[in-house]
Amino acid sequence: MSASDAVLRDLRASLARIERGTGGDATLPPISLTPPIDDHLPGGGLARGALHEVQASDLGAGLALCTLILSRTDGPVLWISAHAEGVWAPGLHALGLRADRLLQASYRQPADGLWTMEEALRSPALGGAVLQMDRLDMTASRRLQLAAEGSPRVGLLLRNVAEHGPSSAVSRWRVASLADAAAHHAGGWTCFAAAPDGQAAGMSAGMKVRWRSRRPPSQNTREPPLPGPVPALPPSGPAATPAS
Amino acid sequence: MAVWAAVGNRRCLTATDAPGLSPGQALADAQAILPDLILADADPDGDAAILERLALWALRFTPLSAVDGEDGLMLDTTGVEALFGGEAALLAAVLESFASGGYRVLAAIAGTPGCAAALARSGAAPQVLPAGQELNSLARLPLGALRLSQDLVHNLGRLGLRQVGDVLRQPRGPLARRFGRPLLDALDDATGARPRPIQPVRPPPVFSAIRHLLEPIVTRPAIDHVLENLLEELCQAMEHAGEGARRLVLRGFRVDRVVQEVSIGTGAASHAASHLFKLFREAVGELEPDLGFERMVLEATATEPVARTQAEMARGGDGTAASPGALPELLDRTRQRIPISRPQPLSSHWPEYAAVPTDPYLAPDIPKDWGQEMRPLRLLRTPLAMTVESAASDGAPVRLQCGGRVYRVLAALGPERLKPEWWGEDLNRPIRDYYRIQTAEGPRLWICRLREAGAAPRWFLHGELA
Repeated sequence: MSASDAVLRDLRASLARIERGTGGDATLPPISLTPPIDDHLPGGGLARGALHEVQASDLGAGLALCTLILSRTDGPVLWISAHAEGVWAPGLHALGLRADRLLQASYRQPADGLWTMEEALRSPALGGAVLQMDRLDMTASRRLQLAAEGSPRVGLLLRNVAEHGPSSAVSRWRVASLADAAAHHAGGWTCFAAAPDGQAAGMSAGMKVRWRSRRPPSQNTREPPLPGPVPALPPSGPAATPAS
Repeated sequence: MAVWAAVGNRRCLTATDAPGLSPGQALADAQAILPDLILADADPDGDAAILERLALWALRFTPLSAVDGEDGLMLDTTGVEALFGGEAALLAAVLESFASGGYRVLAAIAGTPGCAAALARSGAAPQVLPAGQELNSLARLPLGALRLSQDLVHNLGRLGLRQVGDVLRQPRGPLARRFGRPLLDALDDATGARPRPIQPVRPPPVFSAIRHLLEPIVTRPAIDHVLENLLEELCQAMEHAGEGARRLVLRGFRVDRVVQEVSIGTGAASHAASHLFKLFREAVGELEPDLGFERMVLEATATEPVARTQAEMARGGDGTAASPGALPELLDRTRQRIPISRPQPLSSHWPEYAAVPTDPYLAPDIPKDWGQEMRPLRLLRTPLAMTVESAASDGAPVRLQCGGRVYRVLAALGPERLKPEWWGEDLNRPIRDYYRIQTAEGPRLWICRLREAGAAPRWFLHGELA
């Protein structure tokens, strides 16, 4: 048994090497979102060197999750969106992605957007990149995944949930805004429900995420987790609770 | 065949190759002499364009090539004759090159630009004037070779002065009094008494690389290969000098005497051949080789010193840090296909002016008050008009209708009032009240109410909050 296990492990390792061409690399530390979510993710966080797909029921929630993930990376980030659909820097800044890290690109032809995303994921200059594109095929997403592989960068693919199709993203997240009057009244809170699925995420149930965004991101990430349901609003920091 | 143009109220020939006719002759006379003369309108702009094209073409002989007047080229051949095996061989090469392109030219090589120009325009056979012979040979030339006006030559002729030497022997004072500056200027120019700078058609580059091709090349792979070689040579020279290119020009000399140029620019000085090659990928597609390029030249027309950086020996930390040094290369490459910008904050509190797209190479300064308030992640470029029901006449909205969708308002924060900037130009803008709306359906919206004097308030959807 043990011998065949060892053989299997060797075979898997060599397959992974052949598939990815990154044999021998030390694995990079994943991006930590917030401990309640991290606990459910393999590796204890969002994998670097990978393409992640965010399927948004409404755009605000999708933009928020992308911003929160990117605010946890280092270096400039490139936000690629279709012409006339760009993001607004002051809003991203308020949510933790500093405006001096933001580079915006707008494409008119989807091919240009895909090409730019691939170049961005291959460039060591960036910390991460987002591509806002509803329709793309398996080949295109596979190319993006390969471009990101082995790098410390994270690639995000933001799509409308109604348009989603197959893709080779390592994880897929469905996000929707959460109607939370109390949080809204308190001000400075971002609420959305996130449900990661796909091969990389072992979480089946959705999470309700509330995000306090008025503080600089460096402090935000170090906040202690707030486990369990959150009946009243915690003073600050990200909070994620399993949806009931 | 003759070309004519209207000079004042006269119609004169400007150029002709017909026997018995000469430039300056009245059109009517010419037609009387040769009734079946083929006539064409003069096209000074077209002539100038062709002349400039030929000057570019002549860059193959010397880096200092200039257009001289309306009908000539001036090549500074100082130091280049050795490359062609002597001045006579150089002259022969120039003549042969233009002849094979279908141009009949008159040429001369002399010690001063003015003397060479006069010799070439005198209509004599192409010649190389030995050093020190300038004055002797000038003296025998007719005055017409000096590009003086017709009237001036005519008036001098009435005094019996027909050759340059006749005029040169006259005292300068009376000549200047009687005929003015133009004559003396022309004489000084011809004798070289007053040196004249050459205005080259393209400034000579500091860094350039050249490939002569045995066979004209037409295909893209061949051009790419030549470009790669040129870049390698150029980048080595630049690296040696500690410089990097900001602007590169690739010139293809076509077999049919047309020069094609493409250029690229970089955001930060670079001497990385592979990076520069990628930038040329799009630009090279615009070259039209037609019958083929027989010579390709790559020049760095703008360079800047490059700060040399220590190569990274080991990646610090956990290897997740980005290397910002690579950013200009990424931007150079991607900006060729799609526009990339950074948000530049402006000192305006109108949301639509808060951040303008700007040069991505410079990191902007972020104002301190950014991040104080929740702001939409996406701002609609054109705000959407919406119908809003409020509980009270001036109160917060309770129900929104926008683009066929109805939202119930769960909570509303606001109003946040924006007044016109008294220091700005748009004092007459209506006051805006912004509300942050949590809808029962989920999305959070940033809506605004326009307060206009004497009209019902209008509501607009301006952004999507997270």
